[in-house]
Amino acid sequence: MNPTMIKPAGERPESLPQGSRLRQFFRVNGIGLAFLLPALCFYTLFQWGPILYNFLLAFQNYTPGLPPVWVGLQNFQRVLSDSVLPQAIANTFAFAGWALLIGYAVPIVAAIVITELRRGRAFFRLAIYLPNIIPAIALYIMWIYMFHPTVGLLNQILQFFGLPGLEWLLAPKLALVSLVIMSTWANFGSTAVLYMASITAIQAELYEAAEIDGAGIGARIRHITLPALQPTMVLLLLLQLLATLQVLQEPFVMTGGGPNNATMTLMYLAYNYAFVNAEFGKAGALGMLLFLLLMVLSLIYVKLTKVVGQK
Amino acid sequence: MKGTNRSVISVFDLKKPGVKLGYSCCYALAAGLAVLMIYPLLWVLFGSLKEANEIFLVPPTLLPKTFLFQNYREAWQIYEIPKVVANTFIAFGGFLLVRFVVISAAAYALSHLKIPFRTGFYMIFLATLMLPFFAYIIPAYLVVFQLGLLNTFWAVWLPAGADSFTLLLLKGFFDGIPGELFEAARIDGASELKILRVIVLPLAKPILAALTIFAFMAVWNNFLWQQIVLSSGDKWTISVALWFRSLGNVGATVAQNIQLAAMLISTIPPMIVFLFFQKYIIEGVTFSGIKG
Repeated sequence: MNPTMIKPAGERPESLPQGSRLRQFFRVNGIGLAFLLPALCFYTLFQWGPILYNFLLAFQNYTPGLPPVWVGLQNFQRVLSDSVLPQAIANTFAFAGWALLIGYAVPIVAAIVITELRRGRAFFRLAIYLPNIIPAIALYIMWIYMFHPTVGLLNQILQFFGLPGLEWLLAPKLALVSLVIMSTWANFGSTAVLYMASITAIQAELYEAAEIDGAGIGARIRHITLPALQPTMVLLLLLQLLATLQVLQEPFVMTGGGPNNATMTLMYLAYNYAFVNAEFGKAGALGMLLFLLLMVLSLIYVKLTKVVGQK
Repeated sequence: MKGTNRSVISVFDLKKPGVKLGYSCCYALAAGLAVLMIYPLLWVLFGSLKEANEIFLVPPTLLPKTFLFQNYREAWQIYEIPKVVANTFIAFGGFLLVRFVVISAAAYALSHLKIPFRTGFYMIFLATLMLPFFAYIIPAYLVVFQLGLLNTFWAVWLPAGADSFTLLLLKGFFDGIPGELFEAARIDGASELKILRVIVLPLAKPILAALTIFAFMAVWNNFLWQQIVLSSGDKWTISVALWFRSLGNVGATVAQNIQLAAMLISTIPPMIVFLFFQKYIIEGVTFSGIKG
């Protein structure tokens, strides 16, 4: 029985006059709506409000404390003619691309390998999850030290193998990839834990049956493990893509967008418009363009996965 | 052998030498990953105990020549750890209170009270899970500014009342409580608020505990929002202080060894929380990833 139906419902509201029908509505639904009201207010103020406000902001010149001025499409023109924009676009997509290239397969392989182990599974799971416990800023401080060209751990390792040390965050060509390496190290554990949960949910009988039918280990992974992981893989591909296209905190803290704008991302550009130049309208315009881009990407993605799923 | 304990490779497979070798490779790979994760942390720990000039010694040393625990005392003072930790806990306390009051009421209404357009309301809440973070961080800052809440803890507390992950978890839990349980109380004239407080929330203790842990990790780790809205030094939380003294204050940053000590100090509370509540956290991660 549906618990919500227990409420004493009023009889035949159709026969009542207009005023008491409204009263009737609130007598039945009033308490429920009152319980919902605070959440609606908070969502309006801090989630939906800001999104809609951003669309307004994009067409205004706004400095906090002064009245907003309507400027039409001017903000968009100024954003699109910003000489840093092409590089920011390239960097953002390069970051997302590298992050998927380096970071997407690692957690899947790690999850399959670790769930295969008969002993010490909990220890290895803890070990790969460890970076997720470290606060973000602490992690960046640690990695700035790791990337240090003369005394950093990474160059020590390279030198141990007789390779020349690299400049990492200080080299324009390498800075972005350095950030990807760091965020892969920091984040793959939580994704691997997700995959591990999906693998543990696979019934052992499936593997037993496949083995009896003579399927080798490779075939079992290809035909049982990977299909079982597919929904998670599909979802995480989108979530990781969206998350990496919004990258801001890593370059903001670790490189300041440098060297020479090599790690300037779209989100960082918007941050600078707003909080460095106090051009909130411009930030709003860039934010709106990004928002539309991500929504379009998500929609295409949903469509594509549906088409692939039907086949 | 228990059925759940097997995965791709069976006991029979393991008798083949080729598979044995592959299985050993799996162990080697896992061990390699573990070293890759743990070794940098140890290296940072040693770094935090070195003297300031030993840190930049070429060739670098692994073990410190002198174990300078006084680095930690210095970090404690320079980063004003007691003050910023207190601030972080103030931020966390209000954050949790707002979140629990607002979201538990909404979740209770969605799962046990009579409301019109139930699915519509639920969608309004849940759709925000898909909203990109940056689309609202700048306008949300302006909202906070216009409400006059900049540089007050309200700027951290109030947005906590709009969190769909908490709503999703709580509503899921409340859905599982049969309505008959509080029908009697209703007939006795108990108000819905009292039912929520006296019957429903006590039943939800395990999930509230898990949500408390997530909220703690969220507040402790959050940087960007706190840096934007709490810019005055007396309101700094641990993340903001750590950032400003180590990196943000260009030209006047703290020595590297002290930075590392402060970094490790800031890692201790979440580490303790994690080690105690590992099970909840891993389950929460699993859940939040699958919810979509």
